[in-house]
Amino acid sequence: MGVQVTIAANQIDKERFGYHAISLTHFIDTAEPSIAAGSKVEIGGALYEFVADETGTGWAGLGASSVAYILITPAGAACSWSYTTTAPTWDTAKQGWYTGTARVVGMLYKDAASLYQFKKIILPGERLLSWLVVIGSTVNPFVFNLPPAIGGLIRITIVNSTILATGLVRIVPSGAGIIGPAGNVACYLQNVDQSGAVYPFQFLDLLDDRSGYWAVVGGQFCPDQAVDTDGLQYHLGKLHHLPLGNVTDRTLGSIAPPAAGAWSAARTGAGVAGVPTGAKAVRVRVMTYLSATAAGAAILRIAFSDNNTNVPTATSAHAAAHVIAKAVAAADQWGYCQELDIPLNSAGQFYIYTEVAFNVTVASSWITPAAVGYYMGD
Amino acid sequence: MGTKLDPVTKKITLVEIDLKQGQSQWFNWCAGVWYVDFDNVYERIDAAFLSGMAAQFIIMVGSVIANGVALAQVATVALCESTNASFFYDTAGRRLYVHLNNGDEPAIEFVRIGVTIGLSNHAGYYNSVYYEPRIESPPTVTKTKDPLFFGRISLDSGSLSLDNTDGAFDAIGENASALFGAEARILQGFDTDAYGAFVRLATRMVENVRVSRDSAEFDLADKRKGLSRSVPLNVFDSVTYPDLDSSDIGKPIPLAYGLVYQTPVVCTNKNEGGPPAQYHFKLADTAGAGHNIKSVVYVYVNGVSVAFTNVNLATATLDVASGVYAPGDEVWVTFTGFETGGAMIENPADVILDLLNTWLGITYIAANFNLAEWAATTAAVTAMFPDAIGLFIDSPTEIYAILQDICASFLLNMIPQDDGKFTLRMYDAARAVSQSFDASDLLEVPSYEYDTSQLISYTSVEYARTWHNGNPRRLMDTSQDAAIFAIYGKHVLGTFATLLTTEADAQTFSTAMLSIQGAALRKFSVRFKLQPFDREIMDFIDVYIWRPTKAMIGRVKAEVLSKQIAASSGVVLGCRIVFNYP
Repeated sequence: MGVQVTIAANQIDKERFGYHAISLTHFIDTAEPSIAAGSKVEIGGALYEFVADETGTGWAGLGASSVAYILITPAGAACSWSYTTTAPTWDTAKQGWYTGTARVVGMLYKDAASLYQFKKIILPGERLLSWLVVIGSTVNPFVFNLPPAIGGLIRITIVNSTILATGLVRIVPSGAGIIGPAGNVACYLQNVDQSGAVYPFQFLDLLDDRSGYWAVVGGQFCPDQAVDTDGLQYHLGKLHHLPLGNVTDRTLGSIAPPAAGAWSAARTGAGVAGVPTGAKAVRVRVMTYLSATAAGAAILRIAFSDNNTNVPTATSAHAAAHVIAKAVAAADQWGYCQELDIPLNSAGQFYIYTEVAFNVTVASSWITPAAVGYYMGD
Repeated sequence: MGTKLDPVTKKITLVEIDLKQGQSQWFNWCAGVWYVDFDNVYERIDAAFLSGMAAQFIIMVGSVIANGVALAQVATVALCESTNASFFYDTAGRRLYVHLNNGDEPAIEFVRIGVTIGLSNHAGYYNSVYYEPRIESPPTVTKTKDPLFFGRISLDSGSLSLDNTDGAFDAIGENASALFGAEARILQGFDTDAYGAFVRLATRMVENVRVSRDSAEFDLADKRKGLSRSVPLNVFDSVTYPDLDSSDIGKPIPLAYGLVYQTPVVCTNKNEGGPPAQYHFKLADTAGAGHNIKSVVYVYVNGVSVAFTNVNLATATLDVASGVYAPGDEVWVTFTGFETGGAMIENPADVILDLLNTWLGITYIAANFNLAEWAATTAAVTAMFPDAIGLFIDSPTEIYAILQDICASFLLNMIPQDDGKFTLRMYDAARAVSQSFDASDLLEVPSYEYDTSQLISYTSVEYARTWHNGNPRRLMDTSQDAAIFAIYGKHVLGTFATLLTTEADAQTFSTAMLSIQGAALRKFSVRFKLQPFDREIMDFIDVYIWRPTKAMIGRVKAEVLSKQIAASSGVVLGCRIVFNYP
């Protein structure tokens, strides 16, 4: 049962719980910040004001590549502030984030060069911290060490806005911490894949779900693995399907397969057939027909790639279409239809490669890829 | 004709009793500190904002209790600002400042302030308080220590008889929340003394009251009775553990310190269908204690050591595979208990502090403890018993009783000083003499006795208990038996149940006990004026024991076992002779 507060002086005392109006200088650059003159903060029921710009202490003692919290410590009629790596806890009695009797009002990141990155002011009443980390570093990779997950503290959205074409952001869990289903491994954000297609502002959304566990709640989640170099795998994003309410022609050109062991010329996969320019990949329905050279078994195996330098094989990761038939007589035709996702290069192109053409007259065969959807890397 | 000369000064006894009452109005002073001005003078607040406020007729506040825990009194507002769980009373300004635990707002805690009533044997104003002349007979307070010297706590007592001919105390007991448990302080001085020169003889709490037409008698109890909360407090429940067996619902979640052998543990998913691949076991109450456990050493199922997985030191849990364990099996775990900062809490002095802080909110600060002596004892006990404690608590036990067991196992005594602070002492035959007395200081010739009733000639020391059945290992030490028998003509076994964990420490304990109890106990009591009023239990003193014409046994070094202070008749010390000077 709530009780009305009737004494005016008590009302003022109680109304300021949780309040602050803090501004940091150098908020959007990487220089050392000050709490700006005129900033005010309530701590333990008392109201303090910074009458001049004031820098914090303790930065030098923090390890590089670590999250730091802005801690304001009261001492009687004065207060001072410092940096700490100790995560605060929500104090329901005081209506704010506290470490002991000192209040935490913001956070930032000390990068490998000791720069003051990603400054954030915690809003009054912000029970689950929301931290947007936009990384535009030219360091490759830029390492972002996550703070320990403690449960219910923070949601971090990490955005890779680096201007470095191959720039990776490497996100490393603390200690034995776990990120999503991948376990105790780091992950990365890439803004360019092997095709050379750049897709900046990729992000990863992590929620401090419980002690030692970061839940992936959105974005590009690319865990480390032991086969491919970080950043080479394709992040296609969500599938956008082309409309089914019309009969628009979506074919990307019908061609005869290249000769066995040969590549086609570059085929346009974006900016046509309803696939936007800049698409990372296109989903195609491939209709493949072979024409047998003679009676007997006939095999046509073709593959698709965003480049014409790495030769596909039966066990590589290339999108591929197979038709296997038994012809009764020469010129018998057999066909097959299937849907494939084909990565596109930075020009929105793809290539077709004939891997096997056994008992097949390729000049009399044909391939018709028709777009049914696309991926923008989002 | 001569004129009778009367003493020019009078002995003054002051008694202060803090009657507890609520206080709803508080204003913020600075971060974590709140204050109330009983004159309703708030220079920081415009009068327009104080509508509805009024002055309160409170002269002195001697204590403050928040959520059942007494705050430590400090001497300045600056100290109050910097000291968690403290209060400062500005007598001149009639202003009370409180710094509650964690700097919380008083409105969200149950705060009771102890408004002091002053009583005396002679009326007077001291420190702005009027002390009514109601003390009929000067109060008597006693402090004692069990003469067996192995740490058993003997609760101290006191009583106070007040004039009630005008009925002032007729209904004092009707407001139970104000009176019982209220802090009472006894101070002694002279009428020429300022308040600050008075000596505090004792700090007690009001326990019983008897009221008659003409008098009111108060029994004053040992502060250690306030340590009566039982732990563990937290229990297993079916909400947290939905697959808990019904027989385990309500079982306390244990507390553990140091290396504990074969403790019984509760399976928290005994009723899970399937059966589950893993059965989960909870070892200790890390959430309640605020500490991780240090490590898990062995897990036994029906007495056989088995493999275990998924050890979580933060939650003190582990798993045993289905098939290795089945519901109905008995499971015991040997593990090392709570740690802080990576170091196990295993020094008995540290364990005491942790229990007091965690469960009673008594923080380790100068206002609550004799820090220097506590620290020295902590070091001494480590030096003497390097293998430390093994303590497992899985049934509700008063903290007071737990402290008693700890002290008994390590030759310790936890003593409430006259100033209200706790201190910890370890028996030390080489302790420095605190005070020396000439024969002329004694008000009477001491009588003394030689007591062999508590003699022991050999020992059985129990240590390294297996906690699931309480069976200990035992050290039998007969090394002194023949020599002691040769003197006293009897074989006497002393059995000691301890919380020690190793044979080496048990041997150290036995050696110490035989050195203390392997001879007749030589005791005496001696009465002084007020010179030894500030002696503490276990202090050493030098005393001459002689009759006017010659020495009886001469000058001795003695350990104080008890102290009785009667403001009218002086101080009586009960002592044990440690050493005869040549």
